[in-house]
Amino acid sequence: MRTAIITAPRGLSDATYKALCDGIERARGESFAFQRVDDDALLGGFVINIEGEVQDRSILSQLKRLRVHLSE
Amino acid sequence: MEGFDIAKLPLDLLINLLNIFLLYLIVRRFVYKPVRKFLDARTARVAAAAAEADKKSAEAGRLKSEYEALLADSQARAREVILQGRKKAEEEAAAVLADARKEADGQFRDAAERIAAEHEASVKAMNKEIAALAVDISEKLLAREITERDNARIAEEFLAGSGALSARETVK
Repeated sequence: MRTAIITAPRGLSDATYKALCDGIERARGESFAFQRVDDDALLGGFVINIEGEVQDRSILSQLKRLRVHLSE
Repeated sequence: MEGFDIAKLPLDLLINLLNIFLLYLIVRRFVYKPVRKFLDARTARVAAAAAEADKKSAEAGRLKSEYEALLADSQARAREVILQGRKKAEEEAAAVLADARKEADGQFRDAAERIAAEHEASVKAMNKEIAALAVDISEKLLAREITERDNARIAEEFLAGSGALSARETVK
């Protein structure tokens, strides 16, 4: 079973976390061993890391992209 | 004194006349001709001297004309040299002035370009600073304002994008 790490702020509720885990398993068609990592610096959203494959949906990354776009 | 002898008068007269004639011949031969010769020579010398003087006078006139022509030519050349020199000086001055103007224009253009570039850089830096400030403020506001509902919506959008959720399985 592959490991999937979900990094999110502490404000992410358990229900949302569980829905995420279930949704990922459904979309991938496989089971994962999920790990949760709390990181309030993300502000909101989450980051999913499946053995090096990263999907970043955090507010922090969006703000970073906005900062880069505005400074161009 | 003997008395005047009339019978002898013609003979005396003849002798006198003969004496006079002989005297004339002698004077003519020994006095008149040399003197004439002397006078003629002197006249010739005088004429030759006059001719020589005329010749020299003519030569002097010719030389004077030549000198005046040379002088006029030299003066004309000198004027030409002065004019050429003046013209060259004016051309060089104009060239120096044109170079100076060109350099000044170039420096002005460079300065204007530099100013414009600095202005643009300043505006960019200011925009960058404003953007960074706006993002910082947004970050601080979002840190306070993000709710669980917002997190749930982000999760829904993520899962809908991966085609994992159906309409029944929305996040509460």
